Amino acid sequence: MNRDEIRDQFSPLLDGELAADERAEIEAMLSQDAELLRELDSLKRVDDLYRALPRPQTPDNFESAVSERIRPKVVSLKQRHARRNVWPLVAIAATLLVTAAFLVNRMQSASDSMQIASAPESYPASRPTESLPQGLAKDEATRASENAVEELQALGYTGDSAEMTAPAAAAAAAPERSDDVAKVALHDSAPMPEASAGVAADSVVMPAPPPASEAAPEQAAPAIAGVEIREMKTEAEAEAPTPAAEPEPLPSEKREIRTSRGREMSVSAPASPPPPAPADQAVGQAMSAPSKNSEASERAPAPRKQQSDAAATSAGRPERSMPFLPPVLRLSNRVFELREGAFYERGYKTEAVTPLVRGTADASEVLKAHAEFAEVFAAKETIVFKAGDTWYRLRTQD
Amino acid sequence: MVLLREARAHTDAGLVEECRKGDPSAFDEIVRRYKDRVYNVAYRFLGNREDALDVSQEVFVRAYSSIDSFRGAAQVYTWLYSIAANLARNRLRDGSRMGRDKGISLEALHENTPGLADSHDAQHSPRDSAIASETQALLQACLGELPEHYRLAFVLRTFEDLSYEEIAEVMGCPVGTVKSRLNQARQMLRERLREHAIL
Repeated sequence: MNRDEIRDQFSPLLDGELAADERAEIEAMLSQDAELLRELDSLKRVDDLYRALPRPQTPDNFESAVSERIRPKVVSLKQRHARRNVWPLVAIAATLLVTAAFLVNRMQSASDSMQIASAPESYPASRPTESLPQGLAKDEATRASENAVEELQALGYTGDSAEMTAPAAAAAAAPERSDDVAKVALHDSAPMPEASAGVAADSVVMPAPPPASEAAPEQAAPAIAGVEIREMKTEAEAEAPTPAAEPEPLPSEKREIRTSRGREMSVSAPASPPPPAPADQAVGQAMSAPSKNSEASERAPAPRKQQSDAAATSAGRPERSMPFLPPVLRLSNRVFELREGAFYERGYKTEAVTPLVRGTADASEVLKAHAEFAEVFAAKETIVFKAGDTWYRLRTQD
Repeated sequence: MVLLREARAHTDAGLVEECRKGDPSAFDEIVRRYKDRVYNVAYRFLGNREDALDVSQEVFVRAYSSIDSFRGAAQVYTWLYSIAANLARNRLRDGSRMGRDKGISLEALHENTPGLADSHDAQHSPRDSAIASETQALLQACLGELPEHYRLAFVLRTFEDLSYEEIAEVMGCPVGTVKSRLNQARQMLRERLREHAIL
């Protein structure tokens, strides 16, 4: 290490920044070089002089002066912090609002379904009155499933006995009725229509719409029921699951579903039904299938919910399904959900379907190959099901 | 838990955290802790009490504004010194209010040199005090003649006892550069003080 290199180490030496061995080496060299030692001593005196200078003190008002200058910033910093803290609360509040809206909507739907119901006198005496309490205690999805089973039982199916309900047996013994009856009662929700004068105070009989062949279903909607049904349509559109790509959307099949519902309505007659009023008959005719009236008389009585669905259907509106759960069928140990007028086997998405018509040779072949679908083939509804690797859309011949 | 919180509140990092949460008293404590050190650096670097006070206040205002950007890995004081160094350099460039730029007199330096009034105590005669105050003014004047980088390194090391690493962090340069700048600063000061017959 030469003298310049030693000079370069003077500051680290004075500041104690050298390692022990480096320090020892430099000190050994300095001990043999008086000139370098004097240089180092002069640098140390420079340091000592400056270190001896008094430390200036801030004036007493320094802190207050700083506080004065940062006071507006303190507020903004607090606000920033408060904003940071308030976001979780906003999120919680939003969640609660959404939940509340959901519950209110559901309650509203339940209330709507109760408002549009059949008149109590149209039920058999033996049948317990299904006046649901306000607040909706019964699970509507379960009821819808039972309704579907009832209908199938009325059609002569021999399904799972556990799914049978009492009204089905009563329906089997029900006498034939050539007239179709449907009453739609608007409880406390609409003014009494002039046409229904003389009817029970809390029930309104829908005026008969013109036949489907003469007027569009929407046009056939009674004015008085329009308020309620329009609401139902909106909800149904929002709530009913819609397949992404409906295969072969045949209007005729959709009508069939409506017709089927209409038949459900038409067989709501009790074992000893009271004679229907003329207005009732007119409504029943409009709501039932034009060519299926005789079949309809063999059906079991439909629960009140189905009647309201049929009322909406008869008005040309989309069939109203359960608020959040679609009606289901249980056939051949499979579950089918109602979507846009057909029952789709659970699991169906947008796969291609092979059309089948009951009673045709193609249908018979498929049934022969897949005997486990006997119940499906025996039904009248349009059903989309999967047999093997193929999806079929099975409907009844018009 | 309370003790832990109190202990944390006594550390610089805890104060910064409390400050981030919007507690102004935490920042008051930071100001109390470091106001004199920041002011000392500013004064020794600028050589002017008024400018040093302005810069020192601005340091804390800036620090408060950018408290969220403070990296917990650094020391609060090195962060404050960094702000002070930048502001002081800007002050020099903007105002050119340093004594050397204005050809400041020793009298002016005397007026701006803190602690001179305190040196007039009973143990020293007025003559001794006058000599002392003149020496202090000369020392400050010689310091002010150093290039900014040398001066800042020397001030941080000699007056604030920062390590080379800390100085490097404040100045944003390698440790080797700090060592070199300190060497140069001391040698230049030695020459200037010899010229004034102080050494």
